[in-house]
Order: sequence, then structure tokens, then C-alpha cells
Amino acid sequence: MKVAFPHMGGLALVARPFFEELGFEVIELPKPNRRSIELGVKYAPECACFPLKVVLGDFITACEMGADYLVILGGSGPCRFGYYGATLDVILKRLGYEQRVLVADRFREPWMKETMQVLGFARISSKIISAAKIVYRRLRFVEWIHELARRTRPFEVKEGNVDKVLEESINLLKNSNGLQPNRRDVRELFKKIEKDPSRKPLRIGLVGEIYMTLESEANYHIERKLGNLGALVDRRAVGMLSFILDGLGVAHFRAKKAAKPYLKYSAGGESLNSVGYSVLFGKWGYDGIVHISPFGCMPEIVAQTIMDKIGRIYNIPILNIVLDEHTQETGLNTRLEAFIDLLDRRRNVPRS
Amino acid sequence: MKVGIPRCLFYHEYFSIWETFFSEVGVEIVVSPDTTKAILKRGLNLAHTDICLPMKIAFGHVDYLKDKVDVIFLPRIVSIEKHKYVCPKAIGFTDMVRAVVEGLPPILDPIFDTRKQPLKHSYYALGKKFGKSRTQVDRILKTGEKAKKEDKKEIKVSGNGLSVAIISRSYLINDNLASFNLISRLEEKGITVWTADMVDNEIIKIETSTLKKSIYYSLGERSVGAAFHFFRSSLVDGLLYLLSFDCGPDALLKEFIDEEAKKSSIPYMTLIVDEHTGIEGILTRVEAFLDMVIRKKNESSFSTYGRACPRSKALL
Repeated sequence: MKVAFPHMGGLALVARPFFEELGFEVIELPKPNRRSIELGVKYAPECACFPLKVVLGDFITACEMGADYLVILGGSGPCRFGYYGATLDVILKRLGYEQRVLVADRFREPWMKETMQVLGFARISSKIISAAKIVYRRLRFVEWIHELARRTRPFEVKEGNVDKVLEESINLLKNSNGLQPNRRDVRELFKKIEKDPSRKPLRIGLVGEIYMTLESEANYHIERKLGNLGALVDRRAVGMLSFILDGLGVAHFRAKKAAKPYLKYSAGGESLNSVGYSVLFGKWGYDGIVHISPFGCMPEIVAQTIMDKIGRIYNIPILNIVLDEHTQETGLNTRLEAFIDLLDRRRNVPRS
Repeated sequence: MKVGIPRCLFYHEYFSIWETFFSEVGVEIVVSPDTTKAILKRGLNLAHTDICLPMKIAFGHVDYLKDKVDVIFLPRIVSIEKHKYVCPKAIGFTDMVRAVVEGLPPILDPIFDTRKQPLKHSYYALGKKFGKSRTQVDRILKTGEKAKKEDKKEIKVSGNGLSVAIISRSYLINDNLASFNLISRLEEKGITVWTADMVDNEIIKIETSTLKKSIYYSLGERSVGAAFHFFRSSLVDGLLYLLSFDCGPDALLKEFIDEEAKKSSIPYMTLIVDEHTGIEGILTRVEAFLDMVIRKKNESSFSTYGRACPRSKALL
């Protein structure tokens, strides 16, 4: 029984050993690429959000590669994400694929019965603890190496060294049989990079919708671009581990408190975090905020409307980047460069 | 004290209850007028560009009311049914208004969230602010419910026997500007118009129970359930689906309605509107659609073979 799951940042590094631990064969999908995104855009509803289109492209590729089951998370928050599974199921059926979409959802949903039947309740309950351990340890490792990369990028002397090391450490993780490779090896790799500690990088907070922020193929490697332009990117607002913990209600306490005066009730998705961290970044005196969202994302539209006010109150520039299939990389580059120039100039002029 | 109620979003759903409530507690109500071009323009200046048309109109109504009243009634509607939500933009509407509209009077924002408390309790809390006890609020709500039932549009059965269903959200179809008065335009032509509001809640629940996942948007569920009902029963001769551009829930739920439309022989057309939509384009499309409906109807009532379809000129 072969399963496949969509890409989202480093999810494949974590979900693959998880399903293997549960005893499934996993199909390794290529990262979202031009072809898969085009396929998704072609068959997805026009006004659907961009992540759905990318995920649909992934799933069509998976069907072509011979997957039996396509796994995706469900949910019933006010965001549209909870309805992805059902929509994808309808579209794939229309295209004539026999594969089934399996949704991990709340137990009261009708389709959870099917999901549990396929996955096997006995198998899951016997292995779930060891599988969850793998997920936790590996997620922490993935987030940690990306954090290291973000912190090193503005200081590197030769552009591209960090990305090479990042790739090497990801390969280490892929090939490691245990829960995670030795952290010391990775630290050594990062230490070897030639750095210029005299630089004073701009501090930029990254907030936004989780898929677009994490999936570098969909956001044109925005993290790397900002780093190479000399910015120290802070992405604590968005992360896979904190997303899971947030679902359990044990993360982002400070941001939620900070968001209260502006957004009293979560409008679903990451709206509360986006608003809350914008306030925090403003308070901490960051140089700027970059906000990423797909076109038509409902929670982020709410967040964006409110963030404009926060930007004025805390006197912090906010760059809103709305991405979809029509986004051109050159245009994005220009906007990022202009934003960095603005922040740089602003920093050198004493604030009155 | 003057309480202003903007004629937007959930006003179209609950106006009879809200109006009864405020007149019973003894305050003056000011409801903003039907949407005009000027109100829409105010909204366009304030709202985020990517937001849907009903939201832009809603910003305009709030902006229109702000210097005419003492308090604006902007309830924070999160969930009006158990395990269901409304759209995220509607949840965050009150906060967005606070962030962008300048010179706002105080806002009255009771929270309607059935995940935390039943709707009735929200009204109790609201009544308390005006010094009304629970029993008094209960009585007011009962009158309101009664008024709501009376206000529910009576179906006008017309002479020519043609009937069309318009599936849409109540705040889109009942807005005169956003919907281009589609209902009255069709009724003028002598067509019986059905809307999603006219379908019973129980029917909607039964029709949507065939779906693998229950729809967690209250209004979205109503659209899908009503559309399924009209497709499956041969109650109507044609079905129009009116949605606003970039309406988040409808963008996905449209797929399910499209699928059902393929299984049915009832003519079906979607109309997507935004602030740039011109009325001529909509009217042309509706006329073409009605032509199709009439032809289909005649085809099925006459022989399918060898006879020209008499197109009734009087209809159009």
C-alpha cells in the first residue's frame, strides 16, 4: 500500500519516516515544480487559494507515480483548509483517478471511519508513540537547521555557502536511520562557513500564512532572498512544530496576548499570530516586517487590514506579499530589494 | 440614544430580530439605506482590495452611519450553528472596521458564538446592557422570531409557470446593488423565483448528508444543500448560482454544486460579480439563460422530434 502526502517545507523529511514507522510504503514526490503547479492551476477552481492548486499538482503527480492513497490533514476551523480534502477528492475523481484521498480529521466527521479502516486502528495505536517521537525529534531538527541557516546567511562572505551546507545537513537527516543525526556534525559544518561578523544585518520579522511561508518552491525562496540581501530573518511566527503545538493550544502565548487589543477573536488560520507577532516585532524595534499570503486567503486579509494600523502605531514598515500562480519572480525580487533599501536608509536616518 | 445598524452582511439574515429587539428595548434605530453607488465607493476606499464585494459594501455602510448615530451595532458573529462557522472575514469584520474607519462612534459588539454559548445567551447579555431581564429578552426574541417568519419572502407564483432558483448568500442576493435586483428583475418577467432561504433547514441537512465531510460554513451549507435540493427534485426549470468574486467558501463549494449539476438535466449558470461587473453583461447572460430554460422546458413538454420550439415572445 503506497501512500503520498503533499509537500510543505520540510514536511517530507518528517512524514516519510512517520509513515514508514507505521508500516506503509511512501512515494517520494518531487518538490512542487513548474509542471505540477501548472497541472494544479489547470484543474483547481479559479478562486481557490494557491496552496490548494500546488497540493492538487502534487497529488496528480502522486497518482501518476502510482500512489494508492493520498493523505492530507483536515480540520473544521473557519479557514478553507479543512475542506481541501473533499475538494481534492471531487477534482481527482473528475479527472478519472481511482486513488482515494485519506483525511486525518476529527472523529465526528463521516470520512474518518474510512481513514481509520485503511490505516488500521490496531497498527496505529501500537506504533503511534514511536511514530510521534520520530515526528517530534525530526521536526525539531529541521526547524533547528533552518534557524541556523537564517542566522548565518547575512554574515556569509560568499553567497550560496549556507545553502550548500543546508542541503548537506538535510541529506544527513535523510540518510540517518535514527531519530536525528548528530547535531555536532551539523554545527561543525556551519562553523566552517566563512563569515564576516562585523556586518550589522537588518532585522526582519516574517509572518503570514503557513503554507506559503514554509514552502520555498511556492514562495520563490523568499527566506533565502532576504538573507542574501543582508537581513536577519526571524520566522518564529510560523513553523511546523509550533503549528502542531498551537493546535493543541500550547504555543504562541505572547503573540496571542499581544494581538488582543487589535483582533479579539481569531479569524482562523494564522491571523492571530500574524497580528500578534507584528505587534511584538514592532515593540522589539525590528526594522521591518514581511507578510506573506496567498491571493484570497481569508484569515490573512483580516490580518493584513489590521496590520496596516499596527505598522502606523509602531512606526514599522510592513511589506505585504500576495502570491499566486501569476507572480513573477523578477517583480518579487524588485520589491524585496526596494524594501531592504528603504529599511537600510531608514535605519541610518535618526528617528525623530 | 440612536443605534445604527448597517444594512450589510448578517443584517439580511437577522434584520427582523434585531429591529424588534432594539425597538422593544426602547432605542431609536437608524438603518443605513439601500446600497448606493456612493456607499460602495466609500467602502472601496476603506476596504482591502482583495476582499469580496459584500464586505466592501459593508465597510461603506459603516462609514455612512458613523456620524449619524451614537452607537453602531456591529455584532461579532463567529458561529450561528453548532460545529459551524461563518466566513473568517465576517468574524474579523468588527476588528477590521476598528482598524480602518476613522471617527467611529462607540461600537456595540455582542459576540454570537455557539461554540461557547447558545445564541440566546448572547441576546441575554445584550439585553442586560439595556436593563432587560432574561424573561423580557425571551419575550422580545419570540416576537422577533415571529416577525422573521412573517418577513420571509412569500413565493410569488406567476402565470407563465416558469420557475428559476437563485442560489446565493443572503447578504449578496438581498443587496440591491450587488445582486442587480436580480430577484425583482426576474419576477417582473413573470418568473417564479426561489431562493436558498426558502428551503427548510432540515431538507438542507438531509441533502448535504451525502457529502463525505460536513460543510462547516453555515451559509455555504445552505447554498449547497438548497442547490442539491433543487437539482434532485424537479421543482424548478433553471438554477442560477450567484457568487461574489473571491468569496472564499464558495470558491471550493462551487465544485460540489458543479458536480451535482452534471448529474441533473436542469439548466445551470453561475454568475460571478464584483464591483467592476456591468449590469449589461449580467442582463445579457441572464436573458440567454432564460432562453435556454424556455427552450428546454418546451422541448420536454412537446415531442422531442420534428417540431419547432415556439419561443414565447411575451416572456422576454
